Amino acid sequence: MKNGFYIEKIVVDFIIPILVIILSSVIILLVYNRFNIGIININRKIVGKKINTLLTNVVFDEYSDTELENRLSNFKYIVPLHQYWCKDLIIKIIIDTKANLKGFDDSKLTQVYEKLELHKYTYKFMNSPFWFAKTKAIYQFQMLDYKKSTQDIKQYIQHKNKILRANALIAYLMLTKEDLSFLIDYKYELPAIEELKIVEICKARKLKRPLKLKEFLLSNNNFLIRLGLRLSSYYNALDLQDEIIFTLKNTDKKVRKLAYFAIEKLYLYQSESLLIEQYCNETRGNKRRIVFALGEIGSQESLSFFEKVLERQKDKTEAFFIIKAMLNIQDDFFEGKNISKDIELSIKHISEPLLK
Amino acid sequence: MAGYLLFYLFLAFSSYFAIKKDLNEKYELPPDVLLKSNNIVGISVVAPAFNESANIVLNVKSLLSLRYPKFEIVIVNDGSKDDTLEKLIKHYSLKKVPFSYDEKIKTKPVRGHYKSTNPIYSRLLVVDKENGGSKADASNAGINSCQYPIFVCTDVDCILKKDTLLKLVKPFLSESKRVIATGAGIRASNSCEVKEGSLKKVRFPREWYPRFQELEYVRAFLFGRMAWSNINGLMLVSGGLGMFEKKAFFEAGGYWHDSLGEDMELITRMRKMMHEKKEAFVIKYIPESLCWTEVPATKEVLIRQRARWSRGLAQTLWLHKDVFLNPKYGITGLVVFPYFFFFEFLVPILELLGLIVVLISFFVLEVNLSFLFWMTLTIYLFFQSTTLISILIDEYLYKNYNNLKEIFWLIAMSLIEPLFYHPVNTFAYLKGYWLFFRNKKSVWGDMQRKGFKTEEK
Repeated sequence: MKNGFYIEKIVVDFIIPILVIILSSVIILLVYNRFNIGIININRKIVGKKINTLLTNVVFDEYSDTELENRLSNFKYIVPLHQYWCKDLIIKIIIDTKANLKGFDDSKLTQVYEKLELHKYTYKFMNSPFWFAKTKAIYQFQMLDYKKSTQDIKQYIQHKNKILRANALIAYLMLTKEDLSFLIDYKYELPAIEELKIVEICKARKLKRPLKLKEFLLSNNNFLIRLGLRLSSYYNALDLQDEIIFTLKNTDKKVRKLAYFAIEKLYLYQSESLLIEQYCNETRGNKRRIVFALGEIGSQESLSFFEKVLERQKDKTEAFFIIKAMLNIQDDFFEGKNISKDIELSIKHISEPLLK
Repeated sequence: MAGYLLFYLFLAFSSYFAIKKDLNEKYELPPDVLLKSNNIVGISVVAPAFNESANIVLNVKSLLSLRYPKFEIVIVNDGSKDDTLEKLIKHYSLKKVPFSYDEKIKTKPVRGHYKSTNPIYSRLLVVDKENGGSKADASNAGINSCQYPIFVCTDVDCILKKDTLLKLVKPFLSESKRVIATGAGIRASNSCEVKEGSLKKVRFPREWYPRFQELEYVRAFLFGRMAWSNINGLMLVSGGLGMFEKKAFFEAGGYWHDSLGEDMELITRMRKMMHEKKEAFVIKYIPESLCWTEVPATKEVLIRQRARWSRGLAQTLWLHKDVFLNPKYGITGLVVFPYFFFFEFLVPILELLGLIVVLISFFVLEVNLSFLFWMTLTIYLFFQSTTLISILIDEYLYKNYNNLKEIFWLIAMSLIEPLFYHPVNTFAYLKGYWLFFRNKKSVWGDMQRKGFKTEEK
């Protein structure tokens, strides 16, 4: 009973008051937050209209520098520029306007960004000790295409935080025309998503082939090898076939997978025998990639190999891809041959235009 | 009781760190860069349909409008008795095609595969099969037919955010460990404005039961699943929206046809398999709501749904009892599985027993009424706090509600939830256990849908 009494006392004197305070605070915060959202939304609408009008005028009316200066001085008085939400809103609208203004000179928008001293606001995040604040700054610079920040961003490319360094690298590539070869000294491994982004940036920005692409393929950093293989496919690097074939001996299965992909895309016919040799020792996923590659570069040698594999192949999906590769090499290969119902259906599936 | 409260506090902290981590990474992805990539991994979206004639055309249209560079939509007509298939054939100009079907997971016979002759719908594949009596069987047939290495399982009536695929696939491309599944928040679509199968305006449900479920969903996803995701202990990725690695799915044996809760049972089996292979893996949750689905609007349908869930829970725990406190299964055996047993399975039973004991005590023993009152109040306040903190986090991050009135409604619903909604839920769970132990069969597709409030043109 005594224990029960003490528990009751602790509950009544401490726990319940604490819980009541927490609950009341949460309710107040919920109401206050929603109330605030309502007010900010109204303000955002009003300020948003003013910013849009200003930016439209800046882009389409050709203001002189003094005229622009005057307009912006007036603008500073009609919007609450000291508020963070307002600064964020202006930056967001500048970013959106830039994205929608394909073919127009958007340098005026950068001027607006600077003259309203919003770059100082972004630099505040950049100089924050928190890595996630830096990613916000990097994001804003990148989306604003703010070239002056390039060197400030570059210093984070080798940062110990993996998200910050990945963001910094992508933003740097978006902002600079520097040859990608500088990556040869890169000491970290980045995930596949960053490799894809880098290739897409090269495509979108029409960047030149890195001078040290060969060194990428021979690097000790598997990230660079994988990136090198992706870039070799994109840049049609036929002169690097020996280096690409060399990567087939890599212990990382993802590297080998990309190597098979590059061989397929670049039609490296001379690697046919090597691929056939590697097939038996490969992972399931990589075996399929070899089949795809041989489907593109294969000859009679591949057909004979596939015939043997097909006989033993129990997996219907794998058999399907082998048949597809065989038909790719020789479209009448199965004609006049005694084939199973499964092979017959696979041929029909492959030949069906709606399933291509 | 202290143990329960402490564990919930632990979950709260874990959830906080998971959400913070996600927030910290929000500037990571430059939008649209990957949407143009032709090297990105392809995704199949599998949605089984059983007697969905009323909305099937718009539902498929909604799925086809997802934004991702490489995907296909696989609709499985699970032997519908209505004109679901006919409507699909007519609207999407479908033609039966010769299809090399690899039945990696055994299902009821597949009658045929259909593709559209209209190139606009080239991403659509319709699988027509005999009814297998379960969503699991239909999903398995769809997954057997799909071409990409990653697939999403969803319900045909679910409305997905346009960038769902990109958000769910991100962990597959960025984690260093092997990712076998990802999931995201699900919300009630009742009362939402829908135009041509796409969500136009999110609205707070108008009916009582969907309102309670809205609360429950926010709490479960933000408080529970995010917490488990943070410690890689997720044992449930909802059937409404889950992305899976096809290889791991097949290795684990696919959805179990006789399962009463196929989504939880599948994840349990996948986890077991990965532990047995001693291979590091990740199952991730995203704290953002990416899927809207119609939730039961009446007490009867709710009880039926929850009874099915509870039978699924009991069945999964029983079927995989070897995992319980087994160090061979790592965190699954030592933390997650025991949690589901003590905190999910036992709680309705303990609540019933507690009620009986209190009632008997009133007549037989001298009850310390004051003690009983204060302890009940403590629990009430604790759970109120967790629910409303979840709502606050959701409101702060995603601003899903429209006005102050909806917030007041949420608070009011939260305050009365333990008195009106919780007992119904507990009853449904106990009913489910009872049916499970009596070995009664259940059927899928028994949820009566009202359809959406479609905006007039």
